[in-house]
Amino acid sequence: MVRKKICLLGTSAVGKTSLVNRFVNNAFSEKYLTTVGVRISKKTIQIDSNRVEMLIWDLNGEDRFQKLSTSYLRGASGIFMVADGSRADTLESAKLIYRRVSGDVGKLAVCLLLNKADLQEDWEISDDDLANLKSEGWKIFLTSAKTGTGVEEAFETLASMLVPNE
Amino acid sequence: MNRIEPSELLLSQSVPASVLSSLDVAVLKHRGDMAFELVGETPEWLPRIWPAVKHTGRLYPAKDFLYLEHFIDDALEHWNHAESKWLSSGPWTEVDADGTDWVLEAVALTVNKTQLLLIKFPTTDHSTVRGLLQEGRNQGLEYSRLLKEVNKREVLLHCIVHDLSTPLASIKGSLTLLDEDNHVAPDGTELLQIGLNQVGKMQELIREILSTFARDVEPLLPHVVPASEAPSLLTCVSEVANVMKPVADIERVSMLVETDDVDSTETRVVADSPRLERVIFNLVENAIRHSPEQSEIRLKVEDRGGSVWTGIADQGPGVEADVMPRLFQKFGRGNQHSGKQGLGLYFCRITVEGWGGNIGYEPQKEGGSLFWFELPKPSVAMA
Ligand SMILES: Nc1nc2c(ncn2[C@@H]2O[C@H](COP(=O)(O)OP(=O)(O)OP(=O)(O)O)[C@@H](O)[C@H]2O)c(=O)[nH]1
Ligand SMILES: [Mg+2]
Repeated sequence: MVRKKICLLGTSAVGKTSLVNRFVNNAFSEKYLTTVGVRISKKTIQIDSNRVEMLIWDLNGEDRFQKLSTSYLRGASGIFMVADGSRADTLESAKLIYRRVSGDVGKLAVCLLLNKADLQEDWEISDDDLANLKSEGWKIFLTSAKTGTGVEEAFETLASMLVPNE
Repeated sequence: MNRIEPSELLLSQSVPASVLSSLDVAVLKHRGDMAFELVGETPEWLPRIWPAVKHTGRLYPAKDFLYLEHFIDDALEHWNHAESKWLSSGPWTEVDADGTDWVLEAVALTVNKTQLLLIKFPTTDHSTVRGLLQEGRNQGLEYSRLLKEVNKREVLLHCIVHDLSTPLASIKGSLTLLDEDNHVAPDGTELLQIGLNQVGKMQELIREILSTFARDVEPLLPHVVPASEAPSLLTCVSEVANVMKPVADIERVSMLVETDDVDSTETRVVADSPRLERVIFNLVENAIRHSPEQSEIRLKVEDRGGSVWTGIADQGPGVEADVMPRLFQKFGRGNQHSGKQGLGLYFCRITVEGWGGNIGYEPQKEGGSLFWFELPKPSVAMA
């Protein structure tokens, strides 16, 4: 079994904790409880012939109230940058945070999650924006912690980027 | 279990055991090699988040709390070098077997060469901060939700008001023509006047609504249809020209669509056709409104490779220089005029820009105005 540490980063209330709860406990809550410091969960999954124990570090959202301490990223192999697709400004924050931390921790496997995909009516990311992000090299998943859409796929893809291919 | 009594360790440093237990802190003594022992009473909450304390006296917090893995490295460093001050891990959230979140904090300190690790709830200071953070973030979310709602309503309101005012203008125009040209028998003129008065009142009302809600908020982006359903700009222009012909006739203005042999399938653009027609309609209506009698309005559609360009040229007086910079802003011509004009062009701009296009105005050399806009073709926009 291999152990891999992954981190979820992004500004507050984009759904980082909710994504982890969906993936680990298959649960969702509408109530918003902001995360203090770090919240760590574990889940073991099977990738081809490898069992991967994912140590999931859900970090506090970085916003004007609070900065993110990059020391939390020590030892991480992969990161999810998370944005809320119904608030386009959270995508800008995600990109900004990524630019800053990638300077500190170097190149890690990274996926971009555009969360709250169930909020069709309020969706603010156009197909053009998506195409642009892809051309900037982002690996993107549209996810919904509420309905579960894309969540497992995203975690499995990131995990498979961390274990050697056979 | 060789648990150390608090008296052994702490009373000697004149810290009464009661103080320790009232602080509700788990005190761990470092025995070396990352192994720890609990000192004194086990706080009642500790077994819930750390079941190992029920079974063993030798505890490995760095193994059991992933979060502390790195912190204990830092703590070792701290114990070896910094004698006096304490080191905090910062708060973290631990989830117990029931799924309940516990916010905790670890502190490393040295007391008389004894290396201690405390696990505790963050101080009240922290919970105040947490409460404020939650409050701030809730309000931030609420704010962006409200802002979005307000934007939606405002754009909706503008569109409704706009849709109301356009037919009203033609009703007024028609009634005025009837009045001026003595088409109506004398006993009908009174009714006609009532009609005109009511139209005037309604226009006043619309102006009032617009000035009340004239706030400077960014509108929502228009919606884009899939490439396969992209409307042809040429078809839309011809369509609008047809619909507007009677209005132009009333104003004694002629309208000419110049196509330069462009193919309607070559002029498909990123847009949705009802709104695209509304954009063209606004510009044509604007042109008619500013055209002198017996003049001509030319509508032109050009295939420009990656995009399609449309121009609407009139032979009116043109736009005054001081108005030009504000032409496409909301209420660009100022509130003292009918809000409608400014709003029409504003609507055109937000819509065209929302589709990734451009809109502009140029005075023509031979006099009159040229309003134009350019929209990307769907294949190019998707690339
Ligand atoms: N509709 C919808 N709501 C979601 C989704 N994911 C999260 N939410 C809601 O968004 C709010 C914030 O979710 P959290 O998971 O706490 O966000 P976070 O990114 O962990 O926030 P911080 O810990 O403050 O950084 C909560 O009210 C969730 O119920 C989703 O996919 N769809
Ligand atoms: Mg959270």
